[in-house]
Amino acid sequence: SSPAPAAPAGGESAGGAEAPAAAPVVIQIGYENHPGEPVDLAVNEWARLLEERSGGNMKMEVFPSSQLGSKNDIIDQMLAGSSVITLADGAFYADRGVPDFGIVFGPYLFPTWDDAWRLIESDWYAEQSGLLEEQGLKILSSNWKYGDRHTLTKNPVRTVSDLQGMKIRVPNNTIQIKGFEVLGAAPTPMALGEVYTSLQQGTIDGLENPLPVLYNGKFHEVAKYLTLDGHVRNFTTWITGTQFFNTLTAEQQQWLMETGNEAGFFNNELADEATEETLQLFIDEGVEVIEVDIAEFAAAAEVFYSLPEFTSIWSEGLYETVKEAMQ
Amino acid sequence: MEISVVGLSALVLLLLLFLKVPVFVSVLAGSLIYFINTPSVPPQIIAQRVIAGIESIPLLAIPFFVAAGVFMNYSGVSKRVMQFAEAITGHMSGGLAQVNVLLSALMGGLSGSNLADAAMQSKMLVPEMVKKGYSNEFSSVVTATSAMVTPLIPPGIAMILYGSIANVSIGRLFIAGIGPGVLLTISLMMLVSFLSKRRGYKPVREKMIAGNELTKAIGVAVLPLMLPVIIIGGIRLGIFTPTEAGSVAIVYALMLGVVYREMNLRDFLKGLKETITSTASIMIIVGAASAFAWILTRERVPQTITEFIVSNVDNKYLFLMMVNVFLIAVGMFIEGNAAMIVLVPLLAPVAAAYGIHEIHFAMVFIFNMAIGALSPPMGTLMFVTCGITRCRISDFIREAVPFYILLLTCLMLLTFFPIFSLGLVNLIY
Amino acid sequence: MVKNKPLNYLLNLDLVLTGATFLVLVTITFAGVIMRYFVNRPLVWLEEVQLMCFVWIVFFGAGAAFRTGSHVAIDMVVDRFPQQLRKITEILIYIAVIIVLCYFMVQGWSLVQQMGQTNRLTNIFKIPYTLIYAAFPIGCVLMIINYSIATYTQVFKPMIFGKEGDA
Ligand code: NA
Ligand code: NA
Repeated sequence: SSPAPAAPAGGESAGGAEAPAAAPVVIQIGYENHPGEPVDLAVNEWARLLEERSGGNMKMEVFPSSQLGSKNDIIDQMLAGSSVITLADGAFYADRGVPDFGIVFGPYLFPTWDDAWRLIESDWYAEQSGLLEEQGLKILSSNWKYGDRHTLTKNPVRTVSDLQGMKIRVPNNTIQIKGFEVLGAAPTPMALGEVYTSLQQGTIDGLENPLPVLYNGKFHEVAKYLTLDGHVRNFTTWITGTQFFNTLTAEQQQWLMETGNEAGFFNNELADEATEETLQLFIDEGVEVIEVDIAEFAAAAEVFYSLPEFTSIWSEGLYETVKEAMQ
Repeated sequence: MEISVVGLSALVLLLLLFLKVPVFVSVLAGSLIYFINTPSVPPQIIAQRVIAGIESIPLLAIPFFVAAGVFMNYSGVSKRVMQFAEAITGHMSGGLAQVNVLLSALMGGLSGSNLADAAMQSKMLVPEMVKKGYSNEFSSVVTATSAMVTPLIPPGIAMILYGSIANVSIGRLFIAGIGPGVLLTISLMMLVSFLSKRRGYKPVREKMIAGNELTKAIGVAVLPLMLPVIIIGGIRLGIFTPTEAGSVAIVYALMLGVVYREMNLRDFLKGLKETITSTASIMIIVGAASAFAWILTRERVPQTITEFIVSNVDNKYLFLMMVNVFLIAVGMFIEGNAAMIVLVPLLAPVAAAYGIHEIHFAMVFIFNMAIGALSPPMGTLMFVTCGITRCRISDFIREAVPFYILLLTCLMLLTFFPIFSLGLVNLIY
Repeated sequence: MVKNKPLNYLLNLDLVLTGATFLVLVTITFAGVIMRYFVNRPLVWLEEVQLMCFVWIVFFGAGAAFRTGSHVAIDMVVDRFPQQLRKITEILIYIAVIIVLCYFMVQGWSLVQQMGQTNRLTNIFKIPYTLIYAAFPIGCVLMIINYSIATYTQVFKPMIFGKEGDA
């Protein structure tokens, strides 16, 4: 599955004749994940595929662990015309001038992963991608599973009421803050680097993320309860700036996008394996894994979609539109 | 071709640096050379990289602890703490210098920032030491080198970062840091004592204070001595984070300023001004250095050198030695945490392949980065301290020679005797 | 340095502004502790406001740091130069610093323009990034002014009028 290419690719500069065998196009790809995580392995696969498919005409330099800067910094770099790619998702696009996109990060939006995959092929998604392109950002690939986001806490969470008043660290954006507020928690934005000691000392009670990120941060050394609440099915997308994208030939654009999707499938296999392995590692290292009644959590979260913070900026009936689009 | 641009940038940087151009301007000039010679990178990104190097919550500890140090001076807190410290350590040679070292070990228990520690003590301790007859350069060097202890004693940002990049238990790294931290603290105290004797920083009393006198000394300093209790207690109880602790310390120092009636509005404003100028001069170096580090990373300079080392060395001890030399050199140009992000994934697997224990290697790595912060040309710890104490860099470096030798000795012990890193970990786990 | 009182206030405006910003920074951080621990309602906007204050303090304060001589430089080589060579070097240093700061002022300004064009806002309070990043080019201007004044009084004035001219 691949996102429908929304806009006619590369107008101005792609029109010219086949480029002579000049220096290869070099692209920098930057993301937060550390070497060895599924995303990192799949990016390296993408780089390999791209170089092979283009016959050495295109090269991708890989920068894990935020080496090129934070996600927002890299997005600003591509908006300035840099040849960079980064991984981002709906919550970020909402802040970059496409408010409706934020909904894909809402709690319990996708009953199953297949619903997410159907959504990225829908007309609604193509339309949103087009709006994003007007903001200067081109989505290259959308079929990457980042993982189900779960919650790791110092005290067990078995029902929604256990979350009441718990200080859960969330990334600093309205969608994720509100997503936990509706469950009764006290969402606490905090830099990821401060989370380990804050958990250790009890400054906060827990955090949320996909399993591999929770495991790599070693947070389970100081918080022993893992609640498999799956509050967000986090698919993620790779973007670059339209300014750079339009300097590529149509052929180069196609290579870049199709290898991206192929690497996406590779990533999804790795991600599934990693989730199982990580879950076992958590159990082996003394974490209590708690299965909860997802329906109860989903019901509690439903009010999220009618919060005035969102309905005031979203298109009317967005929730229904999106639900329909994933049919 | 790109590599030659980076080489030119580094050359310009070094040239200006030694020609008395302000440190941050020299570093910015180096980055400027890169950006004008690299058309594929839009030039305004250079501004982004400088700002991004500053926009970090953990770095807020720097202005907070600078201000805490400043206001402790004006409020009369420093004076009372130093009276107490002198009473307790007065029978030792170089008593206040010992206090300086010990205080860093204590600060290490609450913050992971060596810069914040050095900044606070440069403000608070160095003027008092100079009043008592210590030379400014000796006081500055003691302050800067002892600040190296802070990232080793848990908690420390470096260990958290290392653990999450290299998949090593952060809890174990925390424990492992205690050994090298204590080793460094004790050997620094020995060196300070030795140097103080030679300099004639004589004991001011014959025997250690006791009885009535001790009670009196504690009485004078009881409120200031509550500060570490409040801060460490507050962090341990989860009331505030180590970064926020700085703001609590400021509020407490200001309160004591009111209690002692030693600080007036004029002092307060003067303190505010000192805080601002010190913070700005420290942070702008941090920002410029992070922009330059970004360039080196983007051009894969450290990555390339690492690959060269890895493919040309086939002996465990030779590998460790090469790593030491390389990391100290890197630490001179790139801030420790930024270097770690790039190099740990490249070096840690190789170390493991040589059969070097992951925690042992982590300690060697972190210790190396700490040394780099202290050495010219771009040792941030050195610049922070000299910026505040107004010590000339040349005097600082001359005075620091025995300390460098000590640090390198400690590094060798740490490198070739894994027991320093692993002893406590094996005992506990 | 300057005897004129109103002008003195004007010249210290950067310190007044950064001083006030610093007090805000300490206050909100302290309030954040109280709201999180005692009231159990963490201030979700804290981080973005803290960072904005921090950036302002650093760049608006960097000019003032030239006035107080707080910026560090490595003096060991130049101070060993013979008098004549030292004077020439100091003029060259001045020119180099001004060129670098001008370049950064221009690039900082393009970054601010980019923030304006893409309308980037902070997550919670929707503060425009133009406002946050503007500290950078403005800081460069303040540095250029302050560095020029400082260099004039410390280097050029004694060079022209001799050491006594400093008094
Ligand atoms: Na520490
Ligand atoms: Na110290």
